[in-house]
Amino acid sequence: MDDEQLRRRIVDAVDSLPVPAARGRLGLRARQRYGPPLSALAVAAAAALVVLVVLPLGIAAQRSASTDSKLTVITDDFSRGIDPQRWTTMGGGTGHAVRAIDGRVELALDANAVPGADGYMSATLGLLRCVARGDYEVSVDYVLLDWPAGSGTQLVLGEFPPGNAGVRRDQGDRERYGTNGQDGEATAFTTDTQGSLRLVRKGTSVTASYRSVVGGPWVELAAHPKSQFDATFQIFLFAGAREFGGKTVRVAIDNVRLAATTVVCV
Amino acid sequence: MKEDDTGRVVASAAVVSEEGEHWGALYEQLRPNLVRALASAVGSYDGVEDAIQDAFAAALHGAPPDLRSPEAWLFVVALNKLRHQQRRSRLAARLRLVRPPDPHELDSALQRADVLATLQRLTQRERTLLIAKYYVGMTQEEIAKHLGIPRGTVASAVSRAAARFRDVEARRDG
Repeated sequence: MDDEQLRRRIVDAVDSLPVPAARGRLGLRARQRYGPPLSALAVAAAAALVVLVVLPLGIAAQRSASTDSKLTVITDDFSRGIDPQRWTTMGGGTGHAVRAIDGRVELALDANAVPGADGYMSATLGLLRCVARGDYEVSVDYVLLDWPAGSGTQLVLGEFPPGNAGVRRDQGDRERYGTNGQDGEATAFTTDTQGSLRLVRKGTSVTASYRSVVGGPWVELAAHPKSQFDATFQIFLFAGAREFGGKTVRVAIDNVRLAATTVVCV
Repeated sequence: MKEDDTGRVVASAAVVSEEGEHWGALYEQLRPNLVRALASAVGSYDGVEDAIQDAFAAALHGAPPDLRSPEAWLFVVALNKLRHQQRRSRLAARLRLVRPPDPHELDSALQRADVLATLQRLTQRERTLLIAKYYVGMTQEEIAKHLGIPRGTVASAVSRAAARFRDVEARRDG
């Protein structure tokens, strides 16, 4: 069976499948859920709601419907792209990109990327409008799309202010996960091309973990003892001028989840 | 100034409406093949309609401007929704938070003793590759970009999936 015969057999077989009746023309559900507002009145009403209600309260986080009602939970699967009310996109140097593609976010550094004056290049998605106070858990799924050996690039989920803890997927002498904090760093070698990164703070200790399979067990890398500030979070692709290998790097991220004792968004 | 503002609002609404018409027409045209392709790839009709609606919702919200194939893009977006839903369902089932769903009434069509049954004996990744390439008509570049496979290994991954298909079919016939 050659390639064309295989194609023909698959097309004929799949074409023979029954198709259930549609629930009407598109897009009732689609338009109801995501359709852009068509009237200026709707836009004005939404703007008024934000100005009169949301901003004065200063809290836009959602109360979780999950099992632990004490936590406030924010999740984003980027099915509606990058919400500018929630996310901030940034970059260092030139040749970087942060874009929503196919229900996830792609962070990219081009082969010809040039570092900024500080000597670094980066593509960053920041959850800067929201602050986590008290205990928290933040995680993100990733897929390495273009991840050439020797790229000198690292994908980081970091807690900020700077100097606090981060967990990363990067390349040293070998492919690895790593974590860094004020007290040092820890690494674990891996062959993963997709997985998840997580930071969990209890009290003033932040534990960095990773997992190879979504839904699988988390593997702890290390705990850092000195996290004591209100925290914001950034997910970024990052390289120093000396380490960068001049190769295009692309990573997709998805399913960001932040659960915290208190989350304040402005 | 007021006239300008009003003019812009009217023009914007017209563009949105035109865009809605465009995707509405594509929905009529592409839905049957998307249903078949997605059900074949994931091995069930369950959740397929919702995933397609979500994909068109994403398109209405803002599809990439330089789409070579809207069908390929919609297939991938809906496939990602389905996979995400499946992962959540499996986790919920493992935790016994929900009862496993009953099979969709049309799922038996996927088990017929022909090419479809052979496809269902492959892994979901293998099925998805074959459906994406041979049924949806995605290019190697699109498969690499949208299915998260390194560009240089797409051809060999498809080739391995095709070999597995031939092998399973030969054993079934033999």
